[in-house]
Amino acid sequence: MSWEKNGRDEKLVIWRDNMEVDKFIYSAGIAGSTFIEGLARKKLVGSRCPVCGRVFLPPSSYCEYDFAETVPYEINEDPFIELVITINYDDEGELLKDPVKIGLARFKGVTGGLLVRVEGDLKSGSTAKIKEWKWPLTVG
Amino acid sequence: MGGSHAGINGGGPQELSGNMTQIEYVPAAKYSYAAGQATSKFLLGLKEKKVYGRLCKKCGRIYVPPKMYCEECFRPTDEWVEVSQYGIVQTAIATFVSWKRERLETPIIAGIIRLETPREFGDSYTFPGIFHFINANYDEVKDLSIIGKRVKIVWNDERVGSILDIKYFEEVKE
Amino acid sequence: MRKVAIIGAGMTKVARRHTMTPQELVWDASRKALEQAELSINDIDCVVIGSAPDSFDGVHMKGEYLFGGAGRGKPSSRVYIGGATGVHIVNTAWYHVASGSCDKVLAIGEEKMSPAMPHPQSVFKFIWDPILEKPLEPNLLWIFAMEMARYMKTYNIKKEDIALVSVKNKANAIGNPYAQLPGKITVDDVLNSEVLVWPVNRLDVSPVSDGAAAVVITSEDIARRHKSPPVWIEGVGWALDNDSWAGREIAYPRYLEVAARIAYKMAGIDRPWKQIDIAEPYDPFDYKELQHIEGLMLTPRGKAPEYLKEGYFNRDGELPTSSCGGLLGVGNPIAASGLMKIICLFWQLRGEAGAMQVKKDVHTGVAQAWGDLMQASTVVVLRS
Repeated sequence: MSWEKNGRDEKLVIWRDNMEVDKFIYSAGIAGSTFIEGLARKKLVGSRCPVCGRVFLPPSSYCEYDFAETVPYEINEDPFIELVITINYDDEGELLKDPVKIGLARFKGVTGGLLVRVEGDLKSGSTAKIKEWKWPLTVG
Repeated sequence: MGGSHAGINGGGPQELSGNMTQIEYVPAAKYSYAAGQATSKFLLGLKEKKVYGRLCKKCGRIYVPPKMYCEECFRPTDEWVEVSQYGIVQTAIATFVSWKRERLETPIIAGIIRLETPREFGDSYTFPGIFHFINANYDEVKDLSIIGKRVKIVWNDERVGSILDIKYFEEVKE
Repeated sequence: MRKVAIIGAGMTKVARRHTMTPQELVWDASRKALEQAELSINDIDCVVIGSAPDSFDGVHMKGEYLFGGAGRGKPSSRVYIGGATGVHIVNTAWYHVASGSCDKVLAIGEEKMSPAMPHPQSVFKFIWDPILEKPLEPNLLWIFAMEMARYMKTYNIKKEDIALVSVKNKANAIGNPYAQLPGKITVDDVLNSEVLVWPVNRLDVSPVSDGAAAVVITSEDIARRHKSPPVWIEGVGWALDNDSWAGREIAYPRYLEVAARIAYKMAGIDRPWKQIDIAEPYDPFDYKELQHIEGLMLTPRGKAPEYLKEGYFNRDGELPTSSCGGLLGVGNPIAASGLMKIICLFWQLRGEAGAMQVKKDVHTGVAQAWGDLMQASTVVVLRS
């Protein structure tokens, strides 16, 4: 008994194929739809748990701490940009002509946060304003 | 601000409709599969109009498509054997839906063919079986008469080392 | 090993394209199960999640993603063996509790098939061997058609006999508030429906669905403290065959018999055709229910259609099967469907099935799921 010893690369066949699904269409879901409608009105709509009082952003239909159903809750705070990073390469490894700046936006009294685009020379640890309400949000 | 998220507890329609927000994404995954030792030799054999299998000397099973290890004995298989191009139809189907989900006028017929091998196996539950096209007419499939018929490989004139080098299996007229 | 029981169950409505996100589906099913179990999410110590290919929902690492709908800060296991997942979720939760590792497990099954475009069928193209099978451009229906044709030829069974399963199950789904496709159809409706891949017609197949289901599984002392009678998990079994489906006699699923024997032995059952009162054999296609009844050794091989014709498997029969509608009537969200069938048994064994309640008194039930390319089967025996 033996394994075949003639495993030469040229004799091995490589078969090429691709991902079969043309595209995915995701439902934004219950809370997600409320959030997106809020953006159209230039409002940030999170969700609030009636049991623990936590406010979630992005909103969730339920509180993961209490499993209770949440209610929509408008957030009127300005975003606090905890962290700004600069991206120099695209996802294929090519150098970007114009580097892209991404920020982690937190809001006072809110659990969670949003990833946003940053314009200008905003530094980590500063308050910002929402400049564009198109998703993803842009702050400056 | 109070209110509630719409439609959780049967408050709204459960079936997704046009006005519920939807987000699209196009994936871009491509794959390159390595055929491996056994399948490579099998495919290159098809190019030469030969069907190769692997023999386990311990239990006498012949694997087509070939496997480098025996499932029953859990040991490497021993040698390459050339296998018959004749077989018996185990089962057959007729599809009216194409790969692209279009309706077909004439059905494509395919099935499983149990290949004839020089040795018989101990159990009738497992055998060297190939999934492939069968050149038959729809009536033979519908009344199940195609099952049990003896068939033979018809080769493609152009062969490249692919399972499609076999064009189809066709009934042997004695 | 400790005794283990199910004390609560919940499921979402099953729909073709659900409004809720996968996590929302999980949460909705989970909170219903917790409510019935009279436990809060913080009482749960372990979570088991079953969900089939990530490429349906379109989210990678779906087990972790879905866990967002199941609380936080708990150990979680994901199981996935195609359609057999649904019952395996309960088998897995069982050994979490039986071993003493966990006391209260939230066991969830979820599937959202609708995001995959143009049709979830395209995801199934991956089930084939990419080199030896996919170039023939088969679709998933071919596999079932091949098995159905072989089953019909081997045991001399007609399509009319098989179609009765579809008629029975869709009728059973009427009165199931979660069902996607309940309805009264006839054998002729099935035979005259569009031929997809002969011998499979449109009404022989269960639909593409989104949905989730959940159960709460606990140890004996917690179950006994609960006000309603628990349903005991008495036997679990599972088995896989090889992936050379073309080299096997597909008229009979031997791997199902292996799994069933393991489960029956554990439950102390040696004559299942006498000792099982009610069954939920996996029915993604009508002929599959019959084949699985035979694999579960509830009738001799090839004989299930005869028993079916006599009404043996009806709700008012000797051994009711798919009494809440099965997959053909309720829908088939792949990983959740086996769990949905277990939940049907749970309701029946507690007398809580309402309009769907079977006529006879039932105490011992078996649920079974099946998956992959003729490969996996999972079995669980429940007793009240």
